[in-house]
Amino acid sequence: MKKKIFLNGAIAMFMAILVLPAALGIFTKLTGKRIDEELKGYYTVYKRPDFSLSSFMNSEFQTDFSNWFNSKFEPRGFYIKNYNTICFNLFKDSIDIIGKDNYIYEYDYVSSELCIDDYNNYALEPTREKMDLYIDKLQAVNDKLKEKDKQLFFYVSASKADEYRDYLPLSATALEPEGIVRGVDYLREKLSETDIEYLFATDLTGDLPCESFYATGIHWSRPFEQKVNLEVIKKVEELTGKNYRKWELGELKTSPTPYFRDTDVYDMLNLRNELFTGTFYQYDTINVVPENYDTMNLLIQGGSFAIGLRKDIWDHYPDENLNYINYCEYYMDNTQVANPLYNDWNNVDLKTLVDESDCVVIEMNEGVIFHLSDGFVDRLYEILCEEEQ
Amino acid sequence: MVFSSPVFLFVFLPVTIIAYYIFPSKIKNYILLLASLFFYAWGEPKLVILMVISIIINFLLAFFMEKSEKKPVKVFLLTAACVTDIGFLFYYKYFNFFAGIAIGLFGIKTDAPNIALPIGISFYTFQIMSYVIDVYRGNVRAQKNPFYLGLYISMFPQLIAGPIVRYIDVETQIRNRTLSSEKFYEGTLRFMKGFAKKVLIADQLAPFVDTVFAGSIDSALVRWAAIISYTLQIYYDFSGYSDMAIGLGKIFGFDFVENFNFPYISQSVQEFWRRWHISLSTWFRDYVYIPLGGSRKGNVRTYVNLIIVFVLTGFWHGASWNFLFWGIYYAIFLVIERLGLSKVLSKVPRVLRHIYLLFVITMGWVMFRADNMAAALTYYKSLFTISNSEINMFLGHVSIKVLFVMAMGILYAFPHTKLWDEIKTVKVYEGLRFAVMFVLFFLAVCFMTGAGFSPFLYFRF
Repeated sequence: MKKKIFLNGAIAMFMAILVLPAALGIFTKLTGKRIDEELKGYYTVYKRPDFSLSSFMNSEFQTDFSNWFNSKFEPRGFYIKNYNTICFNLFKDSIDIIGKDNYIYEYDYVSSELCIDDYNNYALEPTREKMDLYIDKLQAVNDKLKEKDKQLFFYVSASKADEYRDYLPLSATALEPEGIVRGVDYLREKLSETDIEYLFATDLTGDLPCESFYATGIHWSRPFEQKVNLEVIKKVEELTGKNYRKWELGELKTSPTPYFRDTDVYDMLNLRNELFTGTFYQYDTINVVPENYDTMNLLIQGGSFAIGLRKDIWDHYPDENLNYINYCEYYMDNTQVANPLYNDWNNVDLKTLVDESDCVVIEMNEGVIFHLSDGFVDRLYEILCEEEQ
Repeated sequence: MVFSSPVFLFVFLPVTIIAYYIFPSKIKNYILLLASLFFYAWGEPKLVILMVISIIINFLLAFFMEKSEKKPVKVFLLTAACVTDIGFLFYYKYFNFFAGIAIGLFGIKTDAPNIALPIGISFYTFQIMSYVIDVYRGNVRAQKNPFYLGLYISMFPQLIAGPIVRYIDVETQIRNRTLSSEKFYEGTLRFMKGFAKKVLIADQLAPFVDTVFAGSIDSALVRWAAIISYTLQIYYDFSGYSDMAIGLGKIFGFDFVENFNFPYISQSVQEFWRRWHISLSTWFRDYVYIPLGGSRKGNVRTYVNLIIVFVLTGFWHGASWNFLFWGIYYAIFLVIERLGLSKVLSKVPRVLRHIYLLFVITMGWVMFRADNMAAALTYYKSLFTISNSEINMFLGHVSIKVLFVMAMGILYAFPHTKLWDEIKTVKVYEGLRFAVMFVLFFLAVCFMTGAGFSPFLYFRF
């Protein structure tokens, strides 16, 4: 009898694991309450697919159903948090690189800082040649824009691996080759030989009221971002000779929860450890509107750091004319609808965008210098040359 | 559908188990057949028809084979069945390979055809062939119910990655099998064990192995770590799948053959092949090696037979030169052992015999894992080329997690018989055994969900 109870109990426990998602799904449907741990951050949302024989026969239904179910079932959050916590605490393992004192880094930033991959090592001739060609074209674009009474502004956003190099883990620093030249150093050298207006964000870390990067963030802290963005706008204003609406940095606010730019710490918050128990900061801002001001007409190209610039401008003055291109991924105008480019510059009318702009702003992050603006400068160069002919 | 995926674990499996136990005994086989066809159709919605056609053809040929009393007719029907089965296998698995060779040899100006490989075709073809051959030999009666034969071929636990279950072993179970709490319980334990082996060991080593075999890391130490990891990965992946298949079989009342018996404790290549992928080795032994004469026709003929069997074994794993050379590689060692190496080995300490075997196996896996023979040769060379940054490369590429999982993998690759015998004397052994397995299963579910899932290595065979 005892044995039978044991066997049935064991079988029930096994079956409970299997039917738990279905049971919790039904409970949620009936009560509207979800019994699972909330996952922080941004995730792809999948729609439940409709079944049809044709979609099943070409395997579309199976793929869509698997994607939908895998991202939806309960208690997925509970399992994922357990997984993250175990991997982090036992092995310092996560989707990001975990450094000393739990400082996290993305691979690209580490690779560019330590020149781990050849494409990040500018001591190597083939890598240098690519950069030389890029700078030559950038200079040519700068000249041609000036001829059209338009401007080019180039800024390099900072890398956490550069700012917090001492916190990189041994597993990363061990891979640093000898005799390297970092992309950021070579870029600085090359830009100094041109008459392009540029800014290196890393030069502005001087009097920040907090860390330039939080331990558990990939992107920079909000005050650092606010400071850099304001500096970029001032520089663009100087270049174009326009009179833009701006803002001043006011009082420093604090919060125990992350502000916009700090939300990527969520990657690491999906575990049970309290990794970041400190305070997050953000400046209050005060709008400064001149009596006679010019509307901003900017074409901005760059990555997630440039998204911060666009957001800051629109948060203050939603009617400024901004065209933003994310790498060569998507294009977004004032309607704020993302139009995919599929890594093909033919999918956007760059000529019109340039014509509508007073200034082209290129943001390049230290971690992705090897992208060389994803062909944006080459395409600009082509367009401007075509116009001349 | 892979076993280590949420859709299988949380949708397909519970629905199938519940339906199977709710419905009366009479229709349990039909429930299982339906579930198995759906399982296969989930991954191969069009090619499920190929499997059904294959089942129907073999059913009819075996049926008439048994009916016929004339040997030539029987031989003709057997030949027809084998030609059909091998024909399907050849077309879907090997046609691309041979067409590529022909194009290369004769300079035909055309693109090589691109025929998709149906999942598990090597496994179910061998199962179906064992059925018709055994009917021809009179070892089993032909199945009168085509649905029962369909169930034998398509049964989802072993359909796509084995073990290669022979009809003779499950003939009576298909008609009549017992379901009990004991069997269900043993099945859950075995399934949980296999699931944990696959997810907690094989899948954790896979990214490291893939990175190193991608070829950009020039470090002998790292490459040794990667090939040792792959040695463990393939064992835990494949034996984990077999455990899950055997466990699921038990849950549905079947007893499938064992497929692995701690192969890495072997002390010779001969012993290794008695412990590794047992169902495939015994299939080749019974249907190829023995009919060729086995070891009964003198030494030379034995060596030739061994070479034939291992060329076929290599080729069974995949249509490429590296699998072919992998098979030949083992044939050479088996012949050398028979020529006298076995005697020499028997005189050296056990630990040296282990080292010999593990070295042979590990080197063999290089060929097996590399994308082609050129890549394998480059890998071999790099294993013995020391760079001046070995320690740094090792620190940079071999994580604590990989080292930990490797250590666990090595530890668990040994049977620890004495230790288990002692543990079994503990009063609460059974409870402890279940608790450990349940915790491992729970962890594996967390890891599967957290890290996504990877397809089973053996699917491509």
